[in-house]
Amino acid sequence: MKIRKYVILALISVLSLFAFSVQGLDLHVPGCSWESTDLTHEVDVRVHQWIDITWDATPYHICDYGYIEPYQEEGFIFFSLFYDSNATVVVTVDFPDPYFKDDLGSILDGISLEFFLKEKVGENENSILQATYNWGSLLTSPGVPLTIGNAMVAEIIISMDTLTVDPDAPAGIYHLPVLFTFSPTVSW
Amino acid sequence: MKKVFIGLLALLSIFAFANGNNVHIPGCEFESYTLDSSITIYVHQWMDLEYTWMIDSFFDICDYDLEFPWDVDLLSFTLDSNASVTVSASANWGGLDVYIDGTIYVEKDGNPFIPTNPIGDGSYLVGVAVTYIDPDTPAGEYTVELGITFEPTVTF
Repeated sequence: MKIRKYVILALISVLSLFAFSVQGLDLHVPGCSWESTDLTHEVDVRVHQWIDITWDATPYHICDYGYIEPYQEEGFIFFSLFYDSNATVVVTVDFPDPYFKDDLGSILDGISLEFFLKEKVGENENSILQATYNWGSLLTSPGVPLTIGNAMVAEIIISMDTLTVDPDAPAGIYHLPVLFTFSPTVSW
Repeated sequence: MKKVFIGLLALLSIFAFANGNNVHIPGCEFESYTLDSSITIYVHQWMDLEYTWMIDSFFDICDYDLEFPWDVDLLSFTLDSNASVTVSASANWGGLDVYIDGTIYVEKDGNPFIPTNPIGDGSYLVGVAVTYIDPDTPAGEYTVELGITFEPTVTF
């Protein structure tokens, strides 16, 4: 999954280039004193900021009730995201609707889940946010929406820490929406 | 001794010629004297040039993932001179040349033209065909300086 929004923009800007075509200038150089004529011109080239984003969301299957600690074995990665830009990017993360819900809108309330959001820039991995989804309510530290540190190239992952499942947790497919916003730092 | 004297006289008369066109012909031997000279006109080289820089102010590069080659016209000019003209071009790409590959193309009267030097009358279009843009080209503003110099081939 790659984003290439700017191709159309580029096309438009190429077209506008031709529309720009300014009036020609006339220059008459008489003889006898003509040694050399210089034409010079400066062009400001604006290299706009672009970005490539790839991501992957993996569902987790709860097969039984009880207490699970996948974090002890590298954790389970719900979501991973990689972006690559030609300038630093401001990334914010939000959980706009802080519930695990099924397609009918029923809230999953029979589990207690702790997860991390981490950012990996080069070799450095930082825990950005810790979240607890406890019996139907989501608590994050720090709060959301949250701005993640600036980087040109980074990986963001959401991984599970611990999970406690009540025997009465209703069977079904539940989603917790997560929203990432990418903003350029170079723009005109 | 006599010859030396005549030689000297001849030299002097040359200098006299250069200066003021003066000849003295003594009598007795004077039968006829032919003055062979010429009138010289120097036609200097002049030039009429109509030119347009195709990029008025700024130029946007919006993505690295484009269809290449990407032809970017830089300068069009119509040359009308009474002799061929020596042309030299210069460009300072402001650091962009590290990230962007391209080749210069020239068209003459609408046809591809392999640049020769000097060039004759005609309508020329000069541009750069961009063949590659590095995805890591840092976003930002770069100043590109373009220059073209026209020199006469006939000078005195």
